[in-house]
Amino acid sequence: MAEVRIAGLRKRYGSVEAVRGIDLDIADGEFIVLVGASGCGKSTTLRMIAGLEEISDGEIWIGDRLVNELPSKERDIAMVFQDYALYPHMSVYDNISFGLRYRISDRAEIKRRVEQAAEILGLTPLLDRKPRQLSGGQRQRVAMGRAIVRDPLVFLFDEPLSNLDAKLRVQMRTEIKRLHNRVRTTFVHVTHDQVEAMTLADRIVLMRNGEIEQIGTPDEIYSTPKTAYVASFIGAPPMNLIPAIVDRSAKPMVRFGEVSLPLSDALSARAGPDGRKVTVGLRPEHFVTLGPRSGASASLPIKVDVVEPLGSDTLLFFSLAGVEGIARVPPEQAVRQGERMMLEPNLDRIVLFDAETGKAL
Amino acid sequence: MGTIPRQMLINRVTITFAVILALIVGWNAYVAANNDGVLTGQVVDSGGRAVGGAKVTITARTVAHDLEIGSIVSGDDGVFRFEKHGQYNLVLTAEKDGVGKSAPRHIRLYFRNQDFALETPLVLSTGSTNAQGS
Amino acid sequence: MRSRNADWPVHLILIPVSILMLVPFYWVLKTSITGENIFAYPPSILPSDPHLFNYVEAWYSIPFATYFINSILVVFLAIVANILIDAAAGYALTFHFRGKRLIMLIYLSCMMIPFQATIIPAYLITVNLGLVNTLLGIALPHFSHIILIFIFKASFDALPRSLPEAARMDGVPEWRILLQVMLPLARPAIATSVVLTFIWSWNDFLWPLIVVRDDDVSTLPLGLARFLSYFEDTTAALYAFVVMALVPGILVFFLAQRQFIEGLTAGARKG
Repeated sequence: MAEVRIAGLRKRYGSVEAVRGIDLDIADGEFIVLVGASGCGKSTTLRMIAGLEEISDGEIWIGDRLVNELPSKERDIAMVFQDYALYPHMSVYDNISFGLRYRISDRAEIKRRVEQAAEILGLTPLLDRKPRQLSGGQRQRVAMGRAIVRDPLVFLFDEPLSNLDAKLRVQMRTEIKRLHNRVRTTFVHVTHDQVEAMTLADRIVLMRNGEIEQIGTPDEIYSTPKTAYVASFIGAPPMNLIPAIVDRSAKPMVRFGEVSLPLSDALSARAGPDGRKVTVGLRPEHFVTLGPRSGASASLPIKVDVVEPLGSDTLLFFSLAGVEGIARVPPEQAVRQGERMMLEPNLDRIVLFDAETGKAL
Repeated sequence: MGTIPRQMLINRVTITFAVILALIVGWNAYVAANNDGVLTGQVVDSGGRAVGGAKVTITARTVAHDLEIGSIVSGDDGVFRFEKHGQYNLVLTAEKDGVGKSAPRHIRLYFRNQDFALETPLVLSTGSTNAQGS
Repeated sequence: MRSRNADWPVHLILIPVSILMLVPFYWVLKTSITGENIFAYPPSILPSDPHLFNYVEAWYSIPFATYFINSILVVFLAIVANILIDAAAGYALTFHFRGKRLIMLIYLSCMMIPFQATIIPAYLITVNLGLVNTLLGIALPHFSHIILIFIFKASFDALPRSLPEAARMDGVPEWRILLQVMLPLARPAIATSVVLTFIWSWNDFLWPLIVVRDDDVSTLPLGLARFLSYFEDTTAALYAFVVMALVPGILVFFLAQRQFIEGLTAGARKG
């Protein structure tokens, strides 16, 4: 177990900079998730930690060792690949033990470690099988077993759940979490799936275009996103982002189209001068539906375009001031497509972003 | 891995080579058991009576030429026996003054010095030119 | 079922063509087991009085066993060397390094140089190594074929990059990765190597002719030339000789084809 420190990390491919200066401190035993869209540099960062890519600039420390020049095999790390990287012609036992044979010469010790890892992962009855005889989830576990037996300082996961179907993904997510609870080693996990990030991470590192957008606990990232990008990336369905203007002609408000919403005192203090362009952020679950006619002052008149009943909630898709919006309402409310109604936003949950920079106010 | 994987032992390649090796060994064993070069037969006259004292000559036949190797005399019962004849392709002729000559008997063997016994005897006759089968 | 019936025109054409291609082999085989005159007209289709004595003749007329064993040894050396050397080179070419393009360009241009142009330097090198008139000297130029290097490279490139990466991270030395991770998954490339190397070195006449002086180091093609020079007319023994020279090649082909392609289709593809 060891902490990982990344300072000023950069990666260049010719003239293209894939990673542009990453600074990150990962505590010993922490579960960190690097999340972001494809091409944001998260996999490249992981591979640099692993030693599979050369570092163009910056430093990576594992424990108290600077690992920039160290080859992968000396960094005392283990990696689970997206396609599992299982050797198809070897049995599960051989797959798990293959790498061990170059570190430990004692056969009995190897056997002990493999059997212990197999037990943790429920692979004991499968040790003689070949990968092609296993299901996707089982193969995933073999890949994890191979990492476990190395007893590394850091576990690295490169989108390990991307190849699994939705149901299996949920199952394996829990397995990974359980594994972390059991071994308490530093985990660095890369994914593009924000649900995975939210459920697994102690802290999330959201990346975009080679840079870090925000680091924080899932709660912090969800409730207090620092930029509009973060806000829209995390959470499904995504946060509603509505372009508006600050209106201080009467009470402090934000106005979009015909509609205005009052600003709380806290928000008002940060909102800036009259006429400033902002983006109003409100998550779909922070609406309350009202009847077709209601007297509440802060309510938005909408026409429902599409209704998506999920069972646990119902999603309403509507247009508001030229922008597509989504609201999540309890399933008991029977809403029909085309219906006109009023939505009351929870004013305390409004987040304001500067319209140009996207930064939270 | 300490043991040789099973698939390396039981597959078409190894089995084929093992069979070939077995055939080679088996064949050589057979040859070794039967290559004393013993060539036996009998000389009779046109009446079928055994002829003793007939001179039986071995001639080696190759693609290029015929070469006389040696001769032996048949015993009283007409039986002759060569040992270590050293040939794989040969012609036998028998003759005795006064009785006649046999038609050349062409014998082809499977290996050098193969032990061989003539199925039908060499028949001495005067003026016969039919080649007899071996 | 439907596609089977619709294929009959193709079969109609292919069957006669196949028969046509197989006729020379059949003819050689037939003549080798009879002693008949090949110039007789009309030619007989079926063998009459088949016997094996022509094979005996071919075996003893010239030191066939020696030539055969020499050929086998040379080919064996060439095949083993090719697999090791070409696979290693192909594996090296899957990495990215400076000068990779240049090296590949050099390889490609060398492929275009015919062997006949390099005979003299090859001979001089063989003399300097003291390998003239030895089996190793015959086999040495066959130790590596450039096209096989590219075949191995392509085969390794097709494997997921994560496989050798995972092994590398575990500290497995590169030569072990090549032998235990990459090669077992490149069976078709190995089969191709075996078959092609066999054909090129088994049938090679020009190079052994240059390098060999003594009869006991000769290979089969040289032996055949000697056979033909001894005996003026073509005889059934000659045909027996040819059949015996063909058999190993056919054997290797069938073994390689089935064994390795079977290995490929049996699985080992991951999700």
